[in-house]
Formats: sequence, structure tokens, C-alpha cells
Amino acid sequence: MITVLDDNTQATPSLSSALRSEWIKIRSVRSTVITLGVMVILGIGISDLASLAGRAAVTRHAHHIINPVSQSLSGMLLAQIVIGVLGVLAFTGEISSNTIKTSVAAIPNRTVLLTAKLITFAVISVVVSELVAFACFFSGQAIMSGPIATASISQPHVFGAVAGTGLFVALLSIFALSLGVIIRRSAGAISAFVGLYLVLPLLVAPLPSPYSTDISKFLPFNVARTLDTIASTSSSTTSFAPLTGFLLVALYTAVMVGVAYYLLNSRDV
Amino acid sequence: MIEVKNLSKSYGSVVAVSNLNFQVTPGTVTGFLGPNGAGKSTTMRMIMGIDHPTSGEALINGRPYRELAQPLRTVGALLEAKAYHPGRTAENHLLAVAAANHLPSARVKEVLEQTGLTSVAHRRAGNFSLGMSQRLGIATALLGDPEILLLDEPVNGLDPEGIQWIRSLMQSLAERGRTIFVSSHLMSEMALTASHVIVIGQGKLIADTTVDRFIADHSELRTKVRSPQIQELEALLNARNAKVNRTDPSTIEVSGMTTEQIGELASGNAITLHELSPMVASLEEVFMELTQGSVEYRATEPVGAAS
Repeated sequence: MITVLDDNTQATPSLSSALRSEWIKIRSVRSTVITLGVMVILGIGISDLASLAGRAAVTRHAHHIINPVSQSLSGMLLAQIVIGVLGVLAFTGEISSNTIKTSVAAIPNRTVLLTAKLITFAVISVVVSELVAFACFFSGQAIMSGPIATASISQPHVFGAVAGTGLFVALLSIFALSLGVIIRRSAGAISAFVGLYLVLPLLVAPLPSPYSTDISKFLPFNVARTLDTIASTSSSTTSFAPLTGFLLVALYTAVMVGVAYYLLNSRDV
Repeated sequence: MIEVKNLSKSYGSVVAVSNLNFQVTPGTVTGFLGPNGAGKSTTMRMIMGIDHPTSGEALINGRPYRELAQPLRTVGALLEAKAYHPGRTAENHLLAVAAANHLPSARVKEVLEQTGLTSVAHRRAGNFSLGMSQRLGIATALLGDPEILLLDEPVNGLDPEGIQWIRSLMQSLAERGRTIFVSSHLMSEMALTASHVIVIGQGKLIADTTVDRFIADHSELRTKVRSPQIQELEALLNARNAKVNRTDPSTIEVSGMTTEQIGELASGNAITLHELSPMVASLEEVFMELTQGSVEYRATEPVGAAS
């Protein structure tokens, strides 16, 4: 009966075999494709609607000033939430379906397993986030051109703002995946992600004056807001410079990934 | 070869597995028995490196599972009835597992055929019945054609034909020198498949012996007696301190005396017998008796384990 396996079969798991397995896993679930589709449609759709609204506003009031770059990237906030949820589910889906037991049996080295999962998801997330960011930018500029002095990708800082926004969205989706590893439950991890990203800034805002801005500039939400504004490239009292902010959130993500590795290795699955 | 040494697992103050010691050897089907909650699944997860022991260790061919060079070629496990993403097809689930260990994807087709899932290979596994899920779990376990097979309650949800199939699969693999470790809370099932049993209750080892010896050691011989003069016989038996249990107006069950002694007693007193039959306790009865109440098995020394 056994025809393809013999004593010469080398069945030792490695990072490359784990990557292949994760790639099959992520592309063979219909919800991944659907969620990414939703992200693309919502991200570009909302951005283009914002561009249309911006165009209308400027047409009516000539003195109305908008930043054509950030206006065209308005939908990235929603795209962020969608890919964040996908990041959480990339891990919690394995927990809730018990697939994690099969995965750990096949790849007992959990560091290799999580690395493969992070790389696979990161590659998909970067590609799709950048795709959405650039699609938003180009379609938005096309919509607004005429009444508004639109931006060109070759202008200083514009490419950085668009690419940086896409990269930031991907970065936070890795943060979300790590939250999934740490919290293990889909509902809890999604709530935590949305809470940290969207709700925390609302809670910090009403604090007394210096505290409010001192704290809020450290929040990923406010860092994201600085990335698509090409005007300021240096720190201010209320926000970090775009690159500083990006590196700060990269540091948060690195810490979360580290905690995720530690917990996945030390806990029962 | 699976070796479990002083294996313990606690969740806070709850002790799930307590100082287990046993070996599972190649060439036989070893049953792992215990009532629900006895710690069977926890023990199996620790063998598979999925749960960490609180103390002690579980070794596969002398090494922890985590250190196996070729995990799926060495051990195939069915731990959960459903351990796959519901949105993935059976074939893709198996392809992902095969890829993880560099197993050729042609092997997927083979196990699908072996488990009778070829016709549903392209269906999303979330729609599978419990029986089909079990087959997919068994297919996953068989992917690496492993030398050790670890099956947690494999007959759950299988139809009679499926049960027959898994029984003969386990036996034929054991005959080919493989190590088969299969858990169940159904004694009768084990009596048919396993030749060796490891019995646990409340996380502790109760017995580690052959199925035949397990029954012989733990069953009290009873004899069923039917007679038109049952009251006379009952009085005679009671006078000799036999335990008598009346099951219907003309039938009693006797323990504490051999069938021969009862027959001789009846003929010596001119009592007519309509039936005199020895009753061997089933594995189920032995098991029920052994695992009833913690006091009983705390006092019992593991059978055949001490040496």
C-alpha cells in the first residue's frame, strides 16, 4: 500500500517546509481571500469617496485647504482594522479549530512554526497593504485633479508618505497577529486590537492638557496620522516625526512578537 | 516505543495526571483505558509535546517528542475529533501537514484512499460528519506512515463499518511491528482490539497488564443457578457462607463457591438443577468495579506494573 514513502524519505521539518505548509494553509481558506478582498474594496472605496468629498468641498469654497495625500489615504484606517482582524485570526483560528495541535505535532519547534506563520502573513500583508495604499493615492489624485493642486508621487516625501502608510498598516497587522498568539481567543484579541488602536486615543484625549498630548503621541493611532502628512517631517510638541513614530510602533510590535514567542513556547497548546 | 516516566500534570490545584509510569511496546495494540476525565487525553498530549508536564517526562524512542528528527515519520496522532480548519478542504488540510515535514504530496492521495475519503477530498471539512472527521484525523495520523500510532478515542462517531475498519487497521499495523497506543473509555471496545491494557483512574495508574490477565485478576467467578427447588439450595448455600443474589423467582447468582462445589452440593441434597453456568465478568464490569470511587483504587497496587 505504501508506495511513496521508504526509508530514504527525509521528513525532517525545517523553516522552508514550515513556510510551505503555512502558505498552503493561508491560501486554502476562503475567508482569507474574502477578507483581503474586503480590505481592498473598503480601503480604496472609502479613500475615493473621501477624495470626491474633498474635491466637492474645494469646488464650493475656493479657500478650503486639504492635503491631497492624506485625503486620498482616508480609507487606510478601515483597511487597517480589516487586516488587523485577519492577523488575529491567522493564529486564533488555529486555536479555536484545534489545528494548532496538528501544527505543533508536525513542527514541534514552536519558534520555527511561529516564524513561518509571521513571515507568511507579513509578506501577504505588506503586498496587499502597499497595493491598497498606492491604489488609493493614484485614484484619489485622479479624482481630485482639476480644482485641487494634487500631489505627484515624484514630489519630495510623497512616495515615503504613501509607502510608509502601507508599511505601517502591515506592521500593525503583525502586532495584531502577536496579540492573537498572546490572547488566544478571537473575540478577546480582536477587541484588544480595536481597543488599543481606536478606543485608547479617545480615552486619552479628554485628559488635562499636557498629559493628553504627551501620552497620545505615543499611540499607534496618532503615529499613523503623522505618516500621510507630508508637510511636517520633524517632531513637534504634539507628535513625533513620521520616521520616529514608525520606529516607535515597530518597537511595540517587536516587543509583542517577543512575548508571543515566549508564551507560545512556554504554554500548552 | 513510548516510555512514560514519573509523569505528572497539574492545573493549579487540580491534579490531572499523577506520577504515571508505563511503557508502550511495538508489535501490539495497547489500550489506554480510564473513565472520562481520568487523564488519558492529557497524557497523550504530553507524549506529543503539546502539553508540558509539571514533572516527569514522556519519551519516544528515548527522546522527547520535540527532539524527534522526523516527527510525522515517527509518530502519527489523532488527538481531537476535529483538528482542522473548517474552511479548508480535506485534501488541502493534508497537503499542509505533509508539506510541514517534506512528505511527498502523493502521500496525501494514498491516505485519502486508505481512509475512504477520496470522494470528499475537495469538500470543505467543516461540513464533515463526526465519522468523516475521525477518518480525516486518522488520515492525518497515517500521513508519515509512522512507526508509532497514537489514537485518542478513534471509534467515537464511527459507524459499525468504520469501527470494523479501524480495528483491523490497528491490528494489521501491530502485526507489522508498529506501536499502537489507543485510548478508550469503552472496555468492550478494547477487549476486541487490544492485547495489552494500561488502565488509569483520576490520573493514577491502576493496571498495566494483558487484557486476559486483567480480567482474570479482577473478576470474581460467579455462577448462575436455576432450579425448581431454589429456596432449599439458597438455604444450603447461605449456610456455607456463599454470597447469593436472587435475580428472579427461580434463579440465583452465586459467588464465593466454584461451579463444581455448587453442583456437588445440589446433587448431594437431591436438588434438581435446570441450569448451572459459570459467568465470566466482562471487561466492562471489571473496569466499572475498578474505577468506582477513588478509595478503591487508591488502595489497589498497580497490577503487573511493580517489578
